[in-house]
Amino acid sequence: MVTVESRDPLVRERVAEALLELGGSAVEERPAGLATYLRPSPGSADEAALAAAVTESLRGRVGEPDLPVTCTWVPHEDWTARWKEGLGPRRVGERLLVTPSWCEVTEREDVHTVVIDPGMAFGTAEHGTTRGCLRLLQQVVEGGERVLDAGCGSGILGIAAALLGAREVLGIEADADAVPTARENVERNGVADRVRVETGRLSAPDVPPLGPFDGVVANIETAVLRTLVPGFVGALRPGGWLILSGILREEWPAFAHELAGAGLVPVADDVDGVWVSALLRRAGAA
Amino acid sequence: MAKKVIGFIKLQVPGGQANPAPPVGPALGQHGVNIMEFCKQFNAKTQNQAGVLIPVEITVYADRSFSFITKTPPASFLIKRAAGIPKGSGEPNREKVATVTRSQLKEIAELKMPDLNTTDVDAAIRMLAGTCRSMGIEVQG
Repeated sequence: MVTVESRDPLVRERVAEALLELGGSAVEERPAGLATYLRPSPGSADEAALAAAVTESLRGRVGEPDLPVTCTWVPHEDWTARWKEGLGPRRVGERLLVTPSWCEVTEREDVHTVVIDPGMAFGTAEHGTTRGCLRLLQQVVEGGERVLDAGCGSGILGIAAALLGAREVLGIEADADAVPTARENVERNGVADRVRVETGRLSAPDVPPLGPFDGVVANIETAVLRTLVPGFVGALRPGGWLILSGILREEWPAFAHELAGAGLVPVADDVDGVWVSALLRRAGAA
Repeated sequence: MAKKVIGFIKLQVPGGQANPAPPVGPALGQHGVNIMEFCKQFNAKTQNQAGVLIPVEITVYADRSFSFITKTPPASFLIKRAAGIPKGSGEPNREKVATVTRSQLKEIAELKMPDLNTTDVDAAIRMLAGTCRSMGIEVQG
């Protein structure tokens, strides 16, 4: 690994180009300077000698007084395997198992498997809000429902709802980068006939025209949920369920009070670390 | 906020050429980021800027999902493109290899402003003129 110290943005640009010319494949920007990796070559074993050689070649390319250069040999590691450390199948509640695609899993027949790899969309079983929603979905999805997944991210919640028996799921996601990932996940989990993902930033008035829904799940954050709740209530059938998450424990008492005033009846809440996920029902007969 | 940020990584990667070799692999892998997925997405997004060094900022969230934004190409690249030359001078003090106009530098300055440590266009032009000098490129006008 070669690091070159400089905090000047324009000097750093020239250093970055120079490091690529020396054989680096890319450059990492750190607060104090730039780092890249060069492959060992004959005669480059000595770290101090290599640093001197890099300094010499930067002199011609960067046109600055010599910048501090450090070289250290770093053993090769297979990072395409190592980033996966700590990820594996996770049982969430009685009836769901969430697993990365590279793990082989065998489960009881009544356990549904959701395959999700972490990528450019929020929503893996590595987060307490997602797990909370997954547990609450298992309490309410009985089969045949029409469900909205508002802010669907990776699509994990809508996919789980479909596997648990929902008839039709609409996922809406504001982050255009996340939508293709969500669609891939829907395909991979074999629920493309029941789950549709669309790009869009919802505000409360947008929601009722998409309904009516038997259930709505929204794992976002309290401030956003607060603005959307009237829309969710308007889109739910009487007696329909609403799962909200992304609520910090300290926010929950006041928010729960507001929800009770909005025509929602609290049914259950799920606490996972600092996060609360809540299950409510719209007042009125089903 | 549910999407709690647990890591922030800054890289410069040639457009369309991200691969899991260092430094991309270790920089992302240490944060548990899906390296292949980043490479695939970055290469798709930058395929029209093949080989141009692209600064990219990656944000890692608590559930190991990530997002990234790409920034403007380096000033030196934009200057070389404006001057119509493949590389700067090896001996910038003695050998001048090209010229650019002040209005060309102003265009580059305006493009680069979001990424420079200044909000003053004239100051940005002066910084770019310094880069030109160090590359053996004369500034006219």
